[in-house]
Amino acid sequence: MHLKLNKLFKESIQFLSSLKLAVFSLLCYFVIVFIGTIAQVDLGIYYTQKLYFQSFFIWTTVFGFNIPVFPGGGLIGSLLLLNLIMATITKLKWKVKNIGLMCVHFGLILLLLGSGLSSCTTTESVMSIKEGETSFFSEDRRHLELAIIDVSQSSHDFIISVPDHILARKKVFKDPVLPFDIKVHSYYPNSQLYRIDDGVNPRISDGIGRQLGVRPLDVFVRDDQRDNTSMILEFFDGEKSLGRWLFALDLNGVQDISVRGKTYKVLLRPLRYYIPYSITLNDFIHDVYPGTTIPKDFASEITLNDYTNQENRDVRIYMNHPLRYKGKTFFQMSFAENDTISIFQVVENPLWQIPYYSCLLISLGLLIHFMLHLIKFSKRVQL
Amino acid sequence: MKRLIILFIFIFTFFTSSFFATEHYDFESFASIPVLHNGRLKPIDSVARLTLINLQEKVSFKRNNQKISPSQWFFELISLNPITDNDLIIKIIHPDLIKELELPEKDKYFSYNQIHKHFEIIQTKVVPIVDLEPLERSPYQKAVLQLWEKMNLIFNLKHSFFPYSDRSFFDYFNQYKDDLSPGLDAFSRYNSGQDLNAEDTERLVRFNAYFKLHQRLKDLSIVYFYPDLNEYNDITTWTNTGSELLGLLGQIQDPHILLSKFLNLLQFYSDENIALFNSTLTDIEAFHQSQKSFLTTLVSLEYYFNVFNPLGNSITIYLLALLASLFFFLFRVKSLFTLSMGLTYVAFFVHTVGLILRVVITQRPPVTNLYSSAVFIGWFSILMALVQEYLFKNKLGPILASIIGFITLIIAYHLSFQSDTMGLMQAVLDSNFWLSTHVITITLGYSGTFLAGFIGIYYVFFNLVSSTSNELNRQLSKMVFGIICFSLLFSFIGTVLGGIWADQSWGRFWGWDPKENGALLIVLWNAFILHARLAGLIKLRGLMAASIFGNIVTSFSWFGVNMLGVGLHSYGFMEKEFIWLVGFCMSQVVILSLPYLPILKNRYMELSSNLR
Repeated sequence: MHLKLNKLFKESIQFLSSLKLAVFSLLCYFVIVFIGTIAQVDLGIYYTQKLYFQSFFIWTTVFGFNIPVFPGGGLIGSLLLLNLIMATITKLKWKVKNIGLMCVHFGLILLLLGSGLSSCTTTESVMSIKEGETSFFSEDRRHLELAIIDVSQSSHDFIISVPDHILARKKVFKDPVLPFDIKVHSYYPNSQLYRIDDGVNPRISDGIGRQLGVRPLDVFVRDDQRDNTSMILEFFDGEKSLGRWLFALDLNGVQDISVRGKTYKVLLRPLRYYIPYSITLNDFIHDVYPGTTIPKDFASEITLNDYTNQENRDVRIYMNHPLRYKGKTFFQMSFAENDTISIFQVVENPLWQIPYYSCLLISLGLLIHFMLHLIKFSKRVQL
Repeated sequence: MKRLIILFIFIFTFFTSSFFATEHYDFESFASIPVLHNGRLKPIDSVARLTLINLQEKVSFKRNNQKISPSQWFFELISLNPITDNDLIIKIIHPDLIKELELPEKDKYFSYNQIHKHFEIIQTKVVPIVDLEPLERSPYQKAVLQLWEKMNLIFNLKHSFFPYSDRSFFDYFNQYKDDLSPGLDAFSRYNSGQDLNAEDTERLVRFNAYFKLHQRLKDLSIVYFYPDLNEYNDITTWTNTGSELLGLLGQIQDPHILLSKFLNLLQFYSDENIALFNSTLTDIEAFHQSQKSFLTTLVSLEYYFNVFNPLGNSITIYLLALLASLFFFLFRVKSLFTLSMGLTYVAFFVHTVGLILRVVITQRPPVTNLYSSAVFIGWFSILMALVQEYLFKNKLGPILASIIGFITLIIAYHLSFQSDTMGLMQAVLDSNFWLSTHVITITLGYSGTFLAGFIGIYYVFFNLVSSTSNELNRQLSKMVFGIICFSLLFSFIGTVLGGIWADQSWGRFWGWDPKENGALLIVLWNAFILHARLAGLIKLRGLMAASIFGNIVTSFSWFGVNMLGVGLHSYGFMEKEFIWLVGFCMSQVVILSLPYLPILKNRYMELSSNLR
């Protein structure tokens, strides 16, 4: 029994570190990347990533059943990484002549691990500032929050943020933090709102939603379109209902919910990431090549004001020159409204330096390996 | 050696013959005048060529069976010579549009006059089309929009100097000068609220008309002739005719020296005074030369580059080298091989000169757009092919080099009709260390994969037509292996560099963008080949077939991803190119499956002894 386990263990190690597994995985990954790239035309980058590149299996619907039809990018990627690690440990002889190859393999492992983990640790958001104004938060491009704002204090606002993916589960939510219980009657990932001219929406009892109807839509796949998520919520103070309200991303205004003498401002908005410092946009510069409309340079002159450490300085953010501050990086992404609004991409990824280190390691390894071979080659062929 | 000398003489006369062609009007001098156009200083010759490419998708055209140089045509256009209105230089291919405009149905090229009759119809049709997204437009709508843009281009160019062909610009300008002082006086009297007599009112009306016309000229003209006399090198100060005319309203001063010269030039042309026309051009040239600017040197260089056309001419030489190599393989006469080698070296030399000139003129790295990537990929593959010929002396060099050179430069030639090949780059793509290194290493990876693929094709055809040679096959196998190692190295490094650049620009190392995926596919395929070979899963035949497949992967990554229209790398769907791409891929599939066909199998036996 003991011997059989041992044998099984040895065989699985051999399998996991085998070239054949590497060949199989590389071929599978090739197919996945190719199919995924074609699928992107219709699905958009976000959904293609989820379905093909980050999934364990690629599913398809046959006769109403969801069946996995091919291993997904996540599975094969993990397999490749495992194979690489096992092969490096068991196959590469730890000799001096292999030091280049060792560096390359370690660098590669680091790169794959780093990239894989990055997809879990990265947060991307967008910060939009008008010239002359200041911002201290960025917004997520996909996720939303139901913001319940207590404005009773004069010195600050107290914000309770309920992520919308929780509300999508359509249950009743009770929590000591919440000033009222929330019951989700309907949740539409994407919808279109329309005015009701004669009469009211029978499903809504209070607020702006009384005059509006909701038409569910399929989610958008184009990367430049944003879904208008909407939901019908009923709030409860104990057993007493505070009304049924409509909230939607396209509904820009707040609605006031009063409970026990306190008024809370509630709205559905992009998920916010507040930062303990502020960014003021002084000027947005859009240079074009003379006599053309071809953009030459985009730049934002900003002032960074950090009241926690009294840091206050002017920074120029422009193409290929982001601002890196306290773990967040601000990139010049876009602009709007006739060059008066500057839009930054804010990225937070604690693992951002890993590709650079792995690149260094791999280049070093390749250089060493290549040089050793070149020396060997030139000794054989009289150059 | 003697043959090489003869070859050089032939090449030399071939290039310089264009200089000896005589023209009465010295349009060549006109062609080399520097102007600002589309944000870049360039010779008028380039503007002329770009305009013709825009209008008719080619540079050359004939009038009454006589070839007209681009610069001559351009001068005739902007001097409002009515002859250009009848030149057949506007290309329309959509049959419905041709019918609708009542144009001769079998033709493709039409004149300004033929289309101008219906311009109002086109104008009304275009309004809703402009609002649509580019991908939403039907082919008919795209054709209408294109035609409207072409007509607009001609219209704008006709406003380069003076828009009225029935009057002399020279006389108009002199009248304008005379009217300036009294006009300004009348204007100031009007401003201070004084009463105006009939004369003043008339002056004011004329003054206003001048202002309006010159403002229109300023808005419409896209060619900027006039540098700031104190800031010649700052191209943002260059102005067009309209601006110059308006500038005279500000204060009474002498007109720009070049404005006077161009006024004279147009008048001499209208008077058919060739001698004075040519001498004025000499004066203009002298003015620019006297500025002793580096920019004018680059402009002159670009003019000679256009005339000599090294990249276009090297296609012919590569073709000749290819023919010589093929004849060599047929008849096995040593002198044919020497000829093919000589021609290949000459072609490569000219190709190199073209590449270097492009780098110098644009002041940018060698790969900045699709066109230059084709030129560079070809160049590097050919270099590698010649190096391997030097190392292994297997007589493969010339045929590989000439085929690759011919194909890549033909591709480049067709790409040159899409936009200015020396055009400016958008902000995010402009000079950055990571981007430049990424682009060059990736194209080196492409070069390697293509070279390996073509060696694979050579393997298939050689074993098809001659008796199998173990020696040669072993050598080919080693070459392919070495080149794929090289390709893997460079495409991998290039992909990582691209990731670093993306991280610096957008904050994410990898975004699953189609172009990124394309590069990844090449890395994966090359890695697959090497690992499969190492595992013994593929041997000689498999190696060659896989490297031919590499050609498909690389062309997909290079061109295919641009045709998908998504992500940050989309340049738009290129219909004709899609058909060529598919055709090429199918040809590769056919070739790589030949060694596996039952009837041909025995020609492609594996090597008798160990590969390694």
